[in-house]
Amino acid sequence: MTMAPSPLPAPNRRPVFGAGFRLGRTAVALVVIAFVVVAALLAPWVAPFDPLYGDGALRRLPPGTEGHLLGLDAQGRDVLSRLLWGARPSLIAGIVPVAAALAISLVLGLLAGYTSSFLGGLIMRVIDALFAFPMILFAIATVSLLGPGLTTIIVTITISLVPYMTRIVYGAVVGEIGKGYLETARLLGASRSRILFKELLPNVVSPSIVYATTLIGPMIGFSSGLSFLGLGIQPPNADWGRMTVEGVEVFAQGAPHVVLAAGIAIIVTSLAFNWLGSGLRDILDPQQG
Amino acid sequence: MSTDPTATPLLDIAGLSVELLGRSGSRRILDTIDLSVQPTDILAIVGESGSGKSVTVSAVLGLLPANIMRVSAGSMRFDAEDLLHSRDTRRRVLRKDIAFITQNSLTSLNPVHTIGSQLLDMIAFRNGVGRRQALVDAGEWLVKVGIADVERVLSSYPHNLSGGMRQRVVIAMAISSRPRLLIADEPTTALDTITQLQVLNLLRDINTEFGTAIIVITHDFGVVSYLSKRVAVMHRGRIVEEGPTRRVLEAPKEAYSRSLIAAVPQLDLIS
Repeated sequence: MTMAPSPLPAPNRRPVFGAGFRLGRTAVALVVIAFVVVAALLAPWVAPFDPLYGDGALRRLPPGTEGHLLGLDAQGRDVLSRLLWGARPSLIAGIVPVAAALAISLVLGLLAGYTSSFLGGLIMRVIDALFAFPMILFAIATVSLLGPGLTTIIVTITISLVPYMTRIVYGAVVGEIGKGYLETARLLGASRSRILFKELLPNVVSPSIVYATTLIGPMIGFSSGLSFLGLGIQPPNADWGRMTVEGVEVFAQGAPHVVLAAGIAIIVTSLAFNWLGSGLRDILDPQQG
Repeated sequence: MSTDPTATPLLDIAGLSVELLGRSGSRRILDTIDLSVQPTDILAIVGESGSGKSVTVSAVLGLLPANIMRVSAGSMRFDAEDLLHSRDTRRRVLRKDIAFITQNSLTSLNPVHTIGSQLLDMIAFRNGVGRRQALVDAGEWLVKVGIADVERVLSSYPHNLSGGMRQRVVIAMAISSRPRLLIADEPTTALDTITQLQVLNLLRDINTEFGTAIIVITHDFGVVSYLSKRVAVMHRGRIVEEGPTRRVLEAPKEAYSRSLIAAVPQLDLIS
């Protein structure tokens, strides 16, 4: 909405961040996410060693071994370097499919909730059918088409998230249907796209975004599961998920640092996205805070 | 303007029937309704739940859910123009001449937009004025409905306001196009008694000041006697009795009207 200077003050926007705890939490989340993203981007320059080169003499040495801040893994590879390089596929596998699924689900959910009962019913029944499909089947089908790799992970996770997120969006849309403001808009002859995007979308986007951000962490973990099955990232390359798998194998052999480093990275990053999600809700939903 | 019954009525509903479509055939839920509203008239439609009050109004507004309800007979004319068959006429009339107030003021405003943004959109669209003019008008309309701190209200979100304030805003939105007919579906049901009285007074003022005809749906006989000039009693999809409010309330002709009026709880103190 563009408005010329008016005799009345601009609508009073609430402060972007709520007071106290929320402010701190959202800020911390942003800092952590920025840190992880920058680290991933700069991995080729800041990683002290080649993440794939293993020195057999240094296997399983603990953090603090000279030059190796986080120690070395079962094959004598530098854990810090692998962690930095591994951030790349992990972040992509967490963020890209969730964002893609969110976009697809918003469109499907709005259409299903607001258009004709036939189209809506068709969309939702297809979604129901997708629920019944095990994700792993999609993964295997995608692998046979695209071969193992990051693309397969992205496609698989996107397809498997769409049913859940569409349900969320659809539920939110149905909750708004029949409310007076939509009826008024319809009475006045507002176009369907206006009703969908200006009246309805803002009301359903914030619960969807909050839900989406809580999925990013679990999806980082899920992508590692796909990699473990040989459908995603292939050894010797690593994402954080593969590092935990490799780390678990040497956990009891006096080298807990491998799994701890990757696990903590996943936990901290997931938590940061969750906090960012609840911060986003405060910003997006006028009724909060 | 006169209330001479021989003049062209503002809204003229004749023989209107609405069917509820079901799997095993359709069922008539409105049965040959005849209603007419003169300019400056205030008509109350009363009746128990399910008697067809809201369906009648939905039919006028073209808001019947198309997949389950259908107008099966009759005609509706607004100012002698066919409202039932001509989509264009209906759209034009609804944009300018008929305004609608729903029962729940919280859901009749979009929760994610400010009052100002919604009121401005409405005024700009219905009156075809620019946003700058709409902003000035918005302030004036809010003052007219008795809102003093216009600036705060304009920048508020719906949930920031009390129910009474919201209903005022909704009324301001409704009358901002200077409609000739205002349809209010239980406008005071969700409000406390003091706010009810203020809203009723506001509606009455709108009627006298702008000559706006009002149809009010209610099951509150307080609203009927306080506000309306005429009343139509509905029962099971029919209008069983219609006439001047005073006459119907004091000497109802039909048995159903009598039982409905007799069912109003009295303010008798237990002695």
